[in-house]
Amino acid sequence: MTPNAVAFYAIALLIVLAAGAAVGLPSLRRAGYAGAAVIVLLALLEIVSGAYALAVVQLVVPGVAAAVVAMVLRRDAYIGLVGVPPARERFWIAAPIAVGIAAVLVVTVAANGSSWYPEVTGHGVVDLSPALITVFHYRVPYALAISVVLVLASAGVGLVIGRRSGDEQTLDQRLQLRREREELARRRREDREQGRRRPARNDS
Amino acid sequence: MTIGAGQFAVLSAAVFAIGLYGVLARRHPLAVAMSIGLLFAAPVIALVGFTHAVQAPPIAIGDGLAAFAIVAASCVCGLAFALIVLLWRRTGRADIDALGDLEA
Repeated sequence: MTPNAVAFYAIALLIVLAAGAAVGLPSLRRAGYAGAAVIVLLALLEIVSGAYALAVVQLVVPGVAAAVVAMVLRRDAYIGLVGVPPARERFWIAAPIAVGIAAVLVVTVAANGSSWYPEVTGHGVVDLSPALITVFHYRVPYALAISVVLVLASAGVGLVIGRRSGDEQTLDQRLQLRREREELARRRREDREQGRRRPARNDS
Repeated sequence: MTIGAGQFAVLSAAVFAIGLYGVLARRHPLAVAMSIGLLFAAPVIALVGFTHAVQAPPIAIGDGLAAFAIVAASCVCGLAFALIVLLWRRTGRADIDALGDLEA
């Protein structure tokens, strides 16, 4: 299905703007919202193009991942991770590289013309000569099976990397106790100093 | 005016360039992870274009590969987030340069 031109250009413009906001906004919270907007807009683009099943995958898989990330970031231990002031960006290195790569991609696509994808012949039959997509066609079922294994493996590895070990929990508890002791000692010191200053004022 | 694979490819290149800028320029690890997600979104756009804007009727090959790319992107971002959490707990810093402070 050929997408409607107006819908395509409108969604494409919104995708570029949302992607720019996700990368450029200094506030991580707002950048996250912009990233979510990119996901929704990509799903819309897929619906406009006729890829309905892909739109569902586009919304569900990253949506579940984003929900897990949001849940973790709401916990007290990690809330500071979002509130860190932004560090200075490396604009002058990144911008020329990004623009150069974009130019190379566009020129490559323009130079290759239609050889990236299979052509439709005059009778509506798809010519499956070797192209970017067709060379993979017999691997698609394997790719889908591997994706399931990938999800399970990455979820397991993510839990192993991200979880707090027993040693770490003990260390955190001891650090917390130490902080409380230091805070208590500081308050006592301040009280003593205030107590010393008061009689001195009364004498004068 | 009809939309062909070329328009999808240009959009894909633009999204890829924006993601690449984010990976190179930003220093907060969460922003870098989000930019990596954009890098993965770019080929999905190209695959959708090559599959649906050119072929009539479309074959499911491009959609299958695009679905695989979406799953792979989510897995990569999930693992990156686990590493960011580890980095935050170990160093208390949210800076990509702090990765060098992590010890085995």
